[in-house]
Amino acid sequence: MNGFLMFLDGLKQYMNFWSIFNVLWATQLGIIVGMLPGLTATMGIALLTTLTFKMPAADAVLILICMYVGAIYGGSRSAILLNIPGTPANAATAMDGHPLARAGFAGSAIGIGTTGSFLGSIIGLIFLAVFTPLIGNFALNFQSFEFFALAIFGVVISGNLTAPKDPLKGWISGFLGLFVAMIGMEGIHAYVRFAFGSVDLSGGIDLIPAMVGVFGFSEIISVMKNQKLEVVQTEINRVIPKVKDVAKHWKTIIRSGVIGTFIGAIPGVGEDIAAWVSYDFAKNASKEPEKYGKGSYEGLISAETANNAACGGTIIPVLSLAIPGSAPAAVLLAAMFIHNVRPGPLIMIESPEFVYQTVAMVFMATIGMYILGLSMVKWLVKVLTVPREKLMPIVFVLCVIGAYAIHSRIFEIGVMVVFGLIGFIMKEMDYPVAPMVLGIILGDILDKNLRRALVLSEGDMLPLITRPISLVIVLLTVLTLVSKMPWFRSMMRRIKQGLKGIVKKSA
Amino acid sequence: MNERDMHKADFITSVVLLTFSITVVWMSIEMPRLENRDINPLTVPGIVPGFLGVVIGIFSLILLERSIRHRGYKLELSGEKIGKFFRKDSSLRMFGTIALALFYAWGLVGRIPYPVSTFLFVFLFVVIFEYSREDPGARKRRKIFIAGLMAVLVSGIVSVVFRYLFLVKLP
Repeated sequence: MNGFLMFLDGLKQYMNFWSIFNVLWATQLGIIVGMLPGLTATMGIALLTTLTFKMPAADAVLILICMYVGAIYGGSRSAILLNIPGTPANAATAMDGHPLARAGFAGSAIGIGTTGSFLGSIIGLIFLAVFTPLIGNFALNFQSFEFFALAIFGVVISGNLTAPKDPLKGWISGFLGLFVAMIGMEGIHAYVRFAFGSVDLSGGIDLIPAMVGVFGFSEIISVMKNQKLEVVQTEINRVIPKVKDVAKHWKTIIRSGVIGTFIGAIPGVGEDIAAWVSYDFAKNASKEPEKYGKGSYEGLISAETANNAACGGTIIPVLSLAIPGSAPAAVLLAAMFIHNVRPGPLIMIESPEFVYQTVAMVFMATIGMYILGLSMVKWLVKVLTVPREKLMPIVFVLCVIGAYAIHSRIFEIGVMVVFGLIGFIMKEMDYPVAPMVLGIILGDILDKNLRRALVLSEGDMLPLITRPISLVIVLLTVLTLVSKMPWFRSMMRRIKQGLKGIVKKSA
Repeated sequence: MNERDMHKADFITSVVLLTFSITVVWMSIEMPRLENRDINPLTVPGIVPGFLGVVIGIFSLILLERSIRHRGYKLELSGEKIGKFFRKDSSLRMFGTIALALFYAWGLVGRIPYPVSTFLFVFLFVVIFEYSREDPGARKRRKIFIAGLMAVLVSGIVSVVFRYLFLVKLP
């Protein structure tokens, strides 16, 4: 009840002209960023962080959340009309959204997708409001061993889920990210590591320029390298969906919302995996699985509900553990630190009102997204026809000035460029970049907590498996690692067959 | 990238990563133990980078073993193959983008006034990527005019917004 009152207080704070104006422009900009292939939610939030860093924290974080929710939704537009997901989160949307557009149902596909995103976002924010305080209070039991184990678990599970075909590459990416965080002055003895005498490097690698490079510059190169995209020539009919068309999918919506939030809350996994997992679940539970991939409204709504539900989910670990659930949430976390908001286990003691204020922000963004998503549809489609040759130089100009603006250092432009090139090469060779970014964030947590833990235990690593919470995290990490090994899979298959045999015999 | 090429790429990457991890471990061991400050030996600065170096080394060994198993070491590079790669349209666009971006970010920004460098970058980018020999003269002139107009607008708006609205001292 107290939480609900704090939520209403947070909402009241944003019931003024300027806040509503900020919600509208930031969400609309988010939808446009999400729509344009090559511009992702992460890039949008990173660039907007550089534009809002002089604003008060409450306004800046509101704008960034609106960009986040708007962009994750906006990507569905290009997924439906171009068969190219505007952001990775909308890849599953294209599976059924595009066939519907080709069949002449672009308008209703956009309407159903928008409603799915809206409902998903609402489910996500309910979980955000309920689970953040619970996890935050539970995380108060975390000490150095738990945080060390959690950092390792974060990069391992992120690597597993963002590179399902080859998790080894995901793990390499994550550990390289952890290493990047080692560059510069360390936090215990102020010793400068891996700086090679460079004053700039001794300050470390800042997250925002690195992320602008990895998610901005590398995307520009990819977009310019690939073939031009063609927009589907289709009449956009009625966009606003009928209530019964949405209501008949209520089971799928609830299931996808819960799955999306849960997957979103797993460190470094993200909205794209949430959408795919939800899509698979919906297909398995469907009465018409044969329609999936050929233009199923159910498939479309499952993907769109999950990716927006994941937005709320990704913010749960941001607020309660200071560990991001996805790449866009990682920038959001960095932006919160820039604005002197300190998320983490102490947030429920130091500033519980901020948790509910964030819920209010997601709520505002969700309402803005639904209203804007169902209006100006025909006009916004024109944005998709802007040629990449004209759009990409503007994006790169923003990447350069954005990387420079926060600290006014030319060095940060170099960081952005280098990470852009690294990100591009990694993507070309099937290395996911999200674990690397998560690694950059978790590196400092890992470094300080491992060394603190070793001091507290006088060099004994046993508490890692004798402390109950730490043991659970270690077991989960080991399970995540071995679950992809061929011997483990064949062993599990044999156990499954054995169990089936026992059940048959007993029957 | 097809599967065969991926194994070759994995072979090269694993060798690079292995070299990198050995260097990191060696540098971590070489890091000072700060005995003069009388610190707890379990908190020496090299302990965590060393641990990460070992883990990256193990992963790169697994990658190396896997790529060798798939004959990724047979790189089969030839002048003809390399030439074909560089002549591909997609490669030209990729290298063109990287070259222009590096020229702007490292060659222009910070050396000449920001609005001028931004104007040059946007103008060159649009002209180079939209240029087509087959276009008639009037169309070429129109494209150049639009590129110039766009470059003026982008450099002007970005410079003014960052300088006067966000109070950033432009590079």
